[in-house]
Amino acid sequence: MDRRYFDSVETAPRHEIEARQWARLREQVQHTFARSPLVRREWEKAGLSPDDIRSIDDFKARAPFIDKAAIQAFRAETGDPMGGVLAGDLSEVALYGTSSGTTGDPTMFAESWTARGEMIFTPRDIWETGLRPGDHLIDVQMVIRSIGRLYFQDMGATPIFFHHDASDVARMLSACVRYRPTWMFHISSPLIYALERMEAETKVDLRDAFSSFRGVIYGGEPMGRHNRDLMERWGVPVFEFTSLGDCGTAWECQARDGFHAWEDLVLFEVIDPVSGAPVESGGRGEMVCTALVDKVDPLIRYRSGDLVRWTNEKCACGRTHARYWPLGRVGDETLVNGRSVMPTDVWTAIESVPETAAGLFQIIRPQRDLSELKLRVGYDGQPELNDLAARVAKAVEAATGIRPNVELMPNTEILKFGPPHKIPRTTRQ
Amino acid sequence: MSTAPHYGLIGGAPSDASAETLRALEGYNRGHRKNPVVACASDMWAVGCAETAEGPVDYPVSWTDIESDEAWAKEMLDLAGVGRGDFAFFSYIYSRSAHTWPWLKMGFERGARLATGMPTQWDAYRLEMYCRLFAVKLVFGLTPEALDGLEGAGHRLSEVFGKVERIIAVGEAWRRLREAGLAPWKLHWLGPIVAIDPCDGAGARFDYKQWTLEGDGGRLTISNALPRACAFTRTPLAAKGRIGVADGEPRLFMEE
Repeated sequence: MDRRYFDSVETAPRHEIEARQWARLREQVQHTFARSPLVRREWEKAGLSPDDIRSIDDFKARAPFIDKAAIQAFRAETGDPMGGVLAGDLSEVALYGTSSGTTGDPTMFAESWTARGEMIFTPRDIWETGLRPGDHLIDVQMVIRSIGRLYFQDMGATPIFFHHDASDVARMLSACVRYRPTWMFHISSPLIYALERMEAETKVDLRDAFSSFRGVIYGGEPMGRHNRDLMERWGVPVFEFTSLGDCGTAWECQARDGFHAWEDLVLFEVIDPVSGAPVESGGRGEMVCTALVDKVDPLIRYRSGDLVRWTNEKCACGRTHARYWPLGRVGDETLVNGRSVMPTDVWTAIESVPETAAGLFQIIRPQRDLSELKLRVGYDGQPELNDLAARVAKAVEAATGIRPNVELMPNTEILKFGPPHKIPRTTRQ
Repeated sequence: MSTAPHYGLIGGAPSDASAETLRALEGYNRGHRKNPVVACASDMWAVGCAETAEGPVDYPVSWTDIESDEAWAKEMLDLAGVGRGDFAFFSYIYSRSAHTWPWLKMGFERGARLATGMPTQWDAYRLEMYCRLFAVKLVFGLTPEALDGLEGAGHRLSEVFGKVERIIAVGEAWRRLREAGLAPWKLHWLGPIVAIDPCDGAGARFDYKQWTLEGDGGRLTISNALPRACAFTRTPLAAKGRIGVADGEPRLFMEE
């Protein structure tokens, strides 16, 4: 109960991590080449067999990349719902899930009933962020992926179930006072907005409600400055988590200095998105992941489309695995008359206007190249809309140098454009 | 003892867990039972949410309770004809996990293939995808909101669900599916339980061994028939109906 780390592998020396990686990678390459139709096709196209791979460096230099487009193309060509990724027997698959993608069919994931290697959360992260056996926790997930895995009961804790929706926030706050939970999975921008409204309307004491928590996990999208300020004001011990290249998730630790990629479970690489060349520690590039222990639907050298900065320096928390900081999605970049605009470029500007401080916005982007930056922005209250649009446009222009066309709608309406835990920051219409 | 790799991912045990710990964990996964190796592991499986006439009520569920609920869910999956290899889709909001977990677990145990989704307009596109890509045996929990999402995206209900063998629908969704030429069953969320009506004229099935439903002037109440972690005593439900007997067991006949 009082150990600092859940698992000794978290602080293993580099050579030990690499030894585990190589043993698992060698096995994984043989496994997927023999069973995954997509991997076999891509490797044969590259004239490569598993026996050609003699080291991790060999793998990084020679193994072909796979990306979401390749999986979707395989699905379209063959009718295989899993896009050629399934590497276990179909009879092993107990649970299908998907990403929360909102354009086209989302990426599918499969899990077996025994689920020894294909889970998306780890006890290490749950432990590090404060959940302990015997605790109560606020469990407010969506019903999209990995629902058949009872992570928190596995840890000996008792979840209190909630709907991931503003309509269940009042009951959640009552439970915080009644059960004094220590942990929450997970809070999101829409739930924070609901809490902020409830605080304004009812004067509920949110500092008291969150006073028993050791950890509140935030996910879905990056946290904006406004929400970060709210978390601080309410005394919420927040930890963020993010996707680890669709091979799992990566979480912040007590040091809150980047997301930890567990390299004994996933081979983590960062490459130049144009040339494919490796990016050294300290640099920026596209995250590429290879699942090392998932034997059901392992992604092999999967280009995530996530732009990150990364390091392999030891973290202040004492763990030795790689860390990264998300910068955005490759596909989220918009070029306005040749000038690059990412959602993060306009986020803080929109939050700086009081009526749009919740930071709920979308870049309307029918294609990557545009002659005008169009924004859909959510607002609170009953402001004079022409004046508000002008102030938002001015703030964004000051931040980006580009004067946007601003479409306004109430926050409660713009939230309907997304899944319960986020809104898509770029949209075609 | 299992020879499968452990990786420190299951059962609250790290990857360097002792052989003794791994032996104790044999067969432990996915909430099979209270964690056998973690000191201080909770005796409570979870705290669920029951919709009553007076609004949502939290209720603790013990490991013994959930195992009892699994036994009834097993019977209902048999009734719905879900077997090994069949694809079943469960649509629900996460606060109802105490209601749905027994169904999921019994589905896993019989070797069915499962997927889950949310009964919302937003998530209707994933439901449509599953129905298009797989031979779906069962869709559980279909709501009017999901149908709105499908029709709003231009889908015809008869096409999306035409090949689905069994649909269990909620409220107004049942009527709309009937109008589309389909033959759904009915699902009733009743406080801490669900009732399933196969629409065979013999009433809705509920777990009468665990629970007592009574019609109090048409208004339904619920009580636990056997001891559970949380007692319900004639708790009013937001539904009307009467209790009759069919096939030698209590059945629910809803007033809608």
